[in-house]
Amino acid sequence: MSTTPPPSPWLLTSSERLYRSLLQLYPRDFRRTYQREMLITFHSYVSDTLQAAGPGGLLRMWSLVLYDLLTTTFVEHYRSAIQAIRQLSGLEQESFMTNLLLHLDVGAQTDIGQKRLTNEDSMLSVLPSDPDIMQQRGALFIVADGLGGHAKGEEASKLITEEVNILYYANQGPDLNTTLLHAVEQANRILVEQNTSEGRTVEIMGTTCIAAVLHNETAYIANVGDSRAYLIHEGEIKQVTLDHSFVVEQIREGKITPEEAKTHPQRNVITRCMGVPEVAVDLFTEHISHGDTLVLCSDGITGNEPESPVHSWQG
Amino acid sequence: MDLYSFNVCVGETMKQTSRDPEALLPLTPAVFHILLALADQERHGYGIMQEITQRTDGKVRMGPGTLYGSIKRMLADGLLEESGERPDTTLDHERRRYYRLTGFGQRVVRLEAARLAQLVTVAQSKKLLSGPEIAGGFS
Repeated sequence: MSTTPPPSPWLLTSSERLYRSLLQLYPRDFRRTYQREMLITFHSYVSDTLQAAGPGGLLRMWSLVLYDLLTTTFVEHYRSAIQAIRQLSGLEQESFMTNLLLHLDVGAQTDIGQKRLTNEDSMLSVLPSDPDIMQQRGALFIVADGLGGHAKGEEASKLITEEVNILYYANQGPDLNTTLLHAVEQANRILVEQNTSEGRTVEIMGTTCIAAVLHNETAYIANVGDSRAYLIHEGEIKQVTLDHSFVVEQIREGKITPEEAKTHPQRNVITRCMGVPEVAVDLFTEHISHGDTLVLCSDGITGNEPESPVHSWQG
Repeated sequence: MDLYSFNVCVGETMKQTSRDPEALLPLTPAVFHILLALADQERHGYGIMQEITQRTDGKVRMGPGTLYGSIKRMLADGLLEESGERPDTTLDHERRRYYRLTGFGQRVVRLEAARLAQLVTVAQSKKLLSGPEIAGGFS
């Protein structure tokens, strides 16, 4: 085996290309979690096989890989189908209760504010249909409010919700808190790059971002800007996040009163914003229990009624 | 306006820690091989494949689909956990995900090994195994 010719880069790259396209046969949830790892593993596998046994060994390896692929794609699709049937037949709720210790009723509402022509808010909820992903990574909720009057606020809020979603489920650290933080920071870098590449330096494309991961009995919340998270526990409402808003910070420092804030000329100014390089992301961890309600909202609600923000929508 | 609200209902049944390891036995060969590969140290996916091939003198070769399909279910069963991502110096510093046994996984693999050892004793007593060195490997 030691006399085999050096591995051909052509055989390696074409094998990888073929394997990458064959991975499309797996269900989407499975690919989302393992495609990257499987490609890295396959790369090492092909390299070592070529090194040890040359093209003949590669052929034997491919016969194993193809057999493995055919049987396991069948198994993964079968499991996905069983999962879908369980969902349709209502068995899903029971499995959620027993396996995940968490069941969620999600309500979402968005409408276009009276002053603006387009809705610059974006929201997204991800409840993974795969119970394994749900158990490992939890459910993800994002609200992003594009900056009113600024260039392309709507595009920015959409980009951020999509990227945070992709990055959160693609980056798999064991610590969900850090994974969420990295996802928000990485999504910010993508937005900053887009601003730079499109030559925006003064009037940037920006958005607030609040993202919550619910996993078992814990909520992890990341926040940039003046969107808010509230936790309602046994009838008591607690604001989880701190607004990164100029007037709120002035109130906190005792420089102005809440009354003055209502008419302050800079009441719409936020002090942190996605789209700005190296933005500091606030992270909060909250224990959640049966019957709690977690609310994420953009500034749109609270701006109208700063003192009793909850009553305006908790009818 | 933009608003999300979640009502959280946390189930009170079945905690991971109180599960019965016996309920998972017997293990499938793939699951048992992966648990054995991780018994002495944490490894990434390809490391698990290599360990299995080496330990079985190339008789057992696991494909990536079997490996990651099994890992997925073993994570869900609480047998394994991810121990983070680290760059691999042999592969342009590409980050790889590492896996290790949980305490529950260790209990399960011990029980499965004991169960198999008992079967080997039966085989021995019926003179199905020629040399003592084969059975000795299971002690």
